Amino acid sequence: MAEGNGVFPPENLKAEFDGIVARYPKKTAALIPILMRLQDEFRRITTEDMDGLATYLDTTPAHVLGVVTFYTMFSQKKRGKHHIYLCKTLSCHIRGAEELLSLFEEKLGVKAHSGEASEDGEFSIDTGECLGLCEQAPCVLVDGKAYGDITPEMVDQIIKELRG
Amino acid sequence: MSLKPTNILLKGMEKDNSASIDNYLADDGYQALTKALKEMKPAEVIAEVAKARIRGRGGAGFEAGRKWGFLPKGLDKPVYLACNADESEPGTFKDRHIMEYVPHRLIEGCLLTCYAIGSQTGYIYVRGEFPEAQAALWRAIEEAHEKGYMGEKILGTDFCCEIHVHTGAGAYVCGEETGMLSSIEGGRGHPRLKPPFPAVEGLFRCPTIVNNVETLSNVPFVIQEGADAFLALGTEDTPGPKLFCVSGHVEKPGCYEFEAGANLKGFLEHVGGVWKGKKLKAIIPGGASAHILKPDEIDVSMDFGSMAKAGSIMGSAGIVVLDEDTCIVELLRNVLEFFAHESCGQCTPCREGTGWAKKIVTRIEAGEGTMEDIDKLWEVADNFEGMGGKTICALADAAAWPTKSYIEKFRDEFEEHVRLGRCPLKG
Repeated sequence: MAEGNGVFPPENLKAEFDGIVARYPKKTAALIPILMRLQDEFRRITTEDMDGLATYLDTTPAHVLGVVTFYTMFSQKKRGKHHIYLCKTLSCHIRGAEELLSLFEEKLGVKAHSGEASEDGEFSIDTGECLGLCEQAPCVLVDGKAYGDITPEMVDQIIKELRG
Repeated sequence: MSLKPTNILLKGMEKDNSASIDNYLADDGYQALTKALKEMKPAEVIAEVAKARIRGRGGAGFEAGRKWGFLPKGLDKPVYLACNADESEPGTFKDRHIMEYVPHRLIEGCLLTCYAIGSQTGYIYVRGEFPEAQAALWRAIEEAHEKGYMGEKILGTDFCCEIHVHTGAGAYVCGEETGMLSSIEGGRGHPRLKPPFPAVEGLFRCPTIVNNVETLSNVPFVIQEGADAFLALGTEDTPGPKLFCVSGHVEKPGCYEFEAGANLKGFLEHVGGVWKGKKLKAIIPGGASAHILKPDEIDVSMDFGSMAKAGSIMGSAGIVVLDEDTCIVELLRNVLEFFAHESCGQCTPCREGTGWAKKIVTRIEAGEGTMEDIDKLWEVADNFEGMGGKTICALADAAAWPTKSYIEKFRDEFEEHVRLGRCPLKG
């Protein structure tokens, strides 16, 4: 089922998407910014939305699928309400990222890169390649917010804060 | 050269609400744009930037003014500016500091550049993992519009210009300039064969100038104070101010601004040295791609030429400090996981080679490798090093440099993993 009830673009996003398209001399250039909004809004990119988006931008579903599968921030499976990116690269690695990942996975009951969300739908987690927050290593990025200098003791607190 | 602090690129970042246009204007913001539009022809702006010899701060070190000079003359096509803000080189976070704390400096640099190259449209390609930087730039763009520095007939002149933020979505290879262009056009981030170079045929098959965030953020100073003031800073090889990022096993990680050519050893002392009073094992001086340096190799001036002479690269100036407890084999495994994951897959030597190298080093780290594996690992890296034209972009080179240098400088550690059948540092 399309996330916008079969209509593309979804009514509440149409003006915004038209505005994105207007920034470029070619419609297809709006593809990635629009996919990022869809991912944010619906926590996944559905086949129906890919088809709708292809028509909307005068391109093909295969092109859209090719882009969705190339970039790590898009997911065809529904992510948790809070999607955690845990940086695993270099500076974060040497300051304890692997241990942190195990802790997050254990406490949330969900594995990185499984494509699954926790049972209550609240959380999903992936490792990210260098998030560019190295001065705060180790770090995670959740809902557009960076959490840095994370110690194992802080994991519970972060999860609690996200649960709200 | 010793350490000489500058306060140009990140000027004003210590203030509350430093990203606001009011703060930027209070620091003489947009004076350079005003000066250029009222007193200088576009060609004069190019000449001043060329005279300043601003070397590309993304890591390649190519002079911005020379690049601008490659634009074809008399073409009946629009010209685009694409600012590379896909800062993804592991260990690097300087551009994020500019965008989050002083976004107007970058916006002014983009506007000046557009004026110089005859462009009415600029895109700032910000990686998807930088939502705060994107938001800060969008706010800055809105403020610049409100104050008349962007849009139609800027400051009452005939210059019209729009700058847009374009989001990435998670792919290191989009930091390669042509991969970035593919991504802006709505494709997979595949790098393209050069020539044609972007200045001749880039975005939407039109001439396009691609510059890094820090590079463009130097332009307002060059126009306001003049090329001579810029040339008075830094070294003959690399003039101007420079941002250095330091992270890893260090007391005071962060982003620091000094004249280019700052001494690496002195810099390490300045940031408090190795953490917890531990001994230094090695330094990665220019992001994950850089050749590793041992403690007796760090008395070096951080400019493009000196770092090359020292057998490494200045790269993105992402300095990663490694303490005595670091396992170099494990580190290489982590670095190769990164490159194998980020290879776009177009070129066989890179696609197959990075994955193969990752498998070998993983085996050695686990204590299951052989002495032949160590030589094989070096050879595989030597083979996918693409300087001979084996690959479209430099990602394979970026994976080969750490691989070969870690083995060459820490071979005993690789051998010990094989001999002991485990990591010697983990008991």
